[in-house]
Amino acid sequence: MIRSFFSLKWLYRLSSPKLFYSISGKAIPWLLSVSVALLTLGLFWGLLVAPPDARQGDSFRIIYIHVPSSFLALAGYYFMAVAGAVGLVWRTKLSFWFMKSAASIGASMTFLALFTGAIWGRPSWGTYWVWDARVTSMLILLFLYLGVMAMIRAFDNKEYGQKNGAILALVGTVNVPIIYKSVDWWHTLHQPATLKLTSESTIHIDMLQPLLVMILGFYLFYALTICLFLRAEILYHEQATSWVKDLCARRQEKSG
Amino acid sequence: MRMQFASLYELIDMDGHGVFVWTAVSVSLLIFLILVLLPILSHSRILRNIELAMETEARSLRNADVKK
Amino acid sequence: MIHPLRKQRMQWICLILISASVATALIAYMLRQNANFFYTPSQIVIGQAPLGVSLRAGGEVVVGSLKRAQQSLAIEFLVSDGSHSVKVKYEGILPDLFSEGQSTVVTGKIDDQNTLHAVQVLAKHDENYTPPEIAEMYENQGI
Repeated sequence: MIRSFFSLKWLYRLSSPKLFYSISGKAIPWLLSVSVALLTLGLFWGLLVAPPDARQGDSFRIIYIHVPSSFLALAGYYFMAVAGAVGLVWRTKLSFWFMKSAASIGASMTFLALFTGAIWGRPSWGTYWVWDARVTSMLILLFLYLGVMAMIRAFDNKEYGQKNGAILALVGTVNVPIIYKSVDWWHTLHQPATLKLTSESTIHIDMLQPLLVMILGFYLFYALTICLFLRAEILYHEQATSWVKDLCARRQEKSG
Repeated sequence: MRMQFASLYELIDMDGHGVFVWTAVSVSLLIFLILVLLPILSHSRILRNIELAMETEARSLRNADVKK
Repeated sequence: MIHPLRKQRMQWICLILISASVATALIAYMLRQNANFFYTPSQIVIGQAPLGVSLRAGGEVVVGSLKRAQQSLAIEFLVSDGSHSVKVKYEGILPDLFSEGQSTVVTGKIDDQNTLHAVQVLAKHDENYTPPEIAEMYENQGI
């Protein structure tokens, strides 16, 4: 049992498009309801119940979107790059489609992080935009995501585009630790990290709790959108296979 | 749990920061909506296309049978 | 055992990651000063910052140094990093969070008296988030 877990055979089986399609189909209603519930709770808690910040007042509440979307923008880049690497090594179709889905979602998350950051910058810093190391490296992340998206679609030979996209995704991973450490390595206008892995977070517990709810909600929402994007991708690429035709035939029978 | 805002006006205004907070929230909700709807729409479009193709195929097969 | 072809592909991926990291590390090393958003007052006093060109300085607004003009929006204050300070002159709108004892980043040119004539003043806030009552409590305790 344990040995079969480590032999990664289970992962290999899950990389079968048909199996993933049916499992994700069952997971979607759960992911949707739990993530919507968490996001609603987190927003309500963060916007209405959490105390304002002593210095920034209510503008600080943008943190409840800004920080979770930044987390997913960075983590999502690793998800995308790892999927690309798996695709390059094992040539599993599903991992390339995962990479393609993660690129679109990650780009949206990065845009959201930049947008909410700009909106927050106006009342706190006094400007929407600065070219400091954190903000600029985050903008580079957006262009890396867009570059991967474009690379996947740029070639008539799909396999060629996917491989190139995966290589670009892998090269771009160096930017992620730079974004993360930029506020410590250089003088920036952006403040250092509030949530820390190794030491205590510098945010009051009453403000921290809704933030953690939002982060969890964002992660589940991310999983939900990955499932949704990936299912469309699977259906598109597998439309000539017998299992998709069986699926459609059964659907037609049901609808009459 | 205690609410931070006594009235709806205070909640919308947020001490003058409401414009920023609510813009950030509404744009986020818009993007989330797009992220959910876009794949669902393309999923159902692809399904429809496959089913259309299957019907056309079935019809042409039937026609071929009739000609024989 | 892992297939030799896959092992070879993994080695290629490692090579991609290593070379990208080395290239980025070299670029970062080259940019180590230029990537800083602002100069510290110490750097300016020592003379590491260029005179007469637009640059940014960042530090804490020294408590008690803020002087406002009677008739106009003109102000002057000292920006300090703990060891040195630079005088800043500015005329215009200040961000809400700008105040004495808080961090700021100013953009402008430095004259030969080490005075910075600012065209933009931004507020820099830290990574701490505290409810007002707790902040007041700390203040009363003198922390």
